[in-house]
Amino acid sequence: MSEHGLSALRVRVCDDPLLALRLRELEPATFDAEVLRIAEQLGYDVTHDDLRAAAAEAQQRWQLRWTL
Amino acid sequence: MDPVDDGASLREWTPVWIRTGAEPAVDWAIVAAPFTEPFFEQSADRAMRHPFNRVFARTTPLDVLRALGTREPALAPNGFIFHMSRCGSTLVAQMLAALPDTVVLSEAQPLDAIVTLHRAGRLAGDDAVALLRGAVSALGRPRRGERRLFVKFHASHVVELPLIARAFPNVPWVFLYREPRAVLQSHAETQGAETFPETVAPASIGVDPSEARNMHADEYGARVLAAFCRAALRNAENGSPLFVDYARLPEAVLTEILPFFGVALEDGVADRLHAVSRRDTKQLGDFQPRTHPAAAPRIDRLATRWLDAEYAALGERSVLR
Repeated sequence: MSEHGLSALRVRVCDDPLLALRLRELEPATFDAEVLRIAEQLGYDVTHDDLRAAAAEAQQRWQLRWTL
Repeated sequence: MDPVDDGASLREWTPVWIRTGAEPAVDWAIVAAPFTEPFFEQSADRAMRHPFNRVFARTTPLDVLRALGTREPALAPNGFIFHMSRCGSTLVAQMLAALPDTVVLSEAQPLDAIVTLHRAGRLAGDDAVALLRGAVSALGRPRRGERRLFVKFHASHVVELPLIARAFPNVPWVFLYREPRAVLQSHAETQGAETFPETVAPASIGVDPSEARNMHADEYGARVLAAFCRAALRNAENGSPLFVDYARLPEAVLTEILPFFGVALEDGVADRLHAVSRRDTKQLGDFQPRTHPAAAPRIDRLATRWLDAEYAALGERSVLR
């Protein structure tokens, strides 16, 4: 993952409520493709694998929330 | 973990979970829909299924909530619901949630986590008060122009009423209760976590821990439920709560609870509330008030020994208003 990758995009989303809302409003079915397109427009180097890995990690973290 | 800020960047975010491990932390998500499920956790789970919250959900230290608690909330609570457990509180919460422009937080885990940390001695009273204010402010923030906020607490939280009243003085509260044999029978069929010693410590209900280890779950549960009722009665000296027997639901929502909370019904809303009251609030299907006319002898003995006096006292308070 590059330093201008998903981590940097997450920081941007934290600091930019309008961007966060725009991404939250995306349809689940087209979410990955839209995020990749928006990330590229904004100059972030994000890949499909980055999104998939982040989602899988978050899903596991949520499922284990009682134990963490 | 995201760095601590003053909470300004979290304006659009909702605290969906507080992790109570060695380093407590808050998980935040953007919740797009109202909290319409019977329990807050179901709404949080729905939100966490959206890919945005999987990829971009945030985690902050508890301090962020503490900072939020020092500010004036966008929406102050209009009323609290406390209850004995298995006594129609979810039905009441669902009927309140059917009111227009209303947010209802039903047993929200972040509030339970703060109370749990306080009970465990991991949060001082002042800290817990600040965190409760911050959590309610962040959870109850109007997202669609809502103008009313109600909070339904976990059954065991009635024991923490002094702490909650410190955080939110002057908020009117209702205590729901029910004929004890029916409550005990329900717990005998499916025991609720609110009656576990891990939730309500033996010492806090006057039971020796070694005695608790050998006590049948039914008896421990009866003594916990009695402690909930006594806590409600004890705290009734502060403020002027409303006590409502399950037997008077669902009609009491319209005739007692809403007037008590100062809610005037607009045209057509009563019909909507009646429709909600006919639904089973925890399962699909029609709501049928449940009665247990023939309690098992053991249940009957436990109710007689541990709960009948409290039930009678609640009835007296209920009539006093």
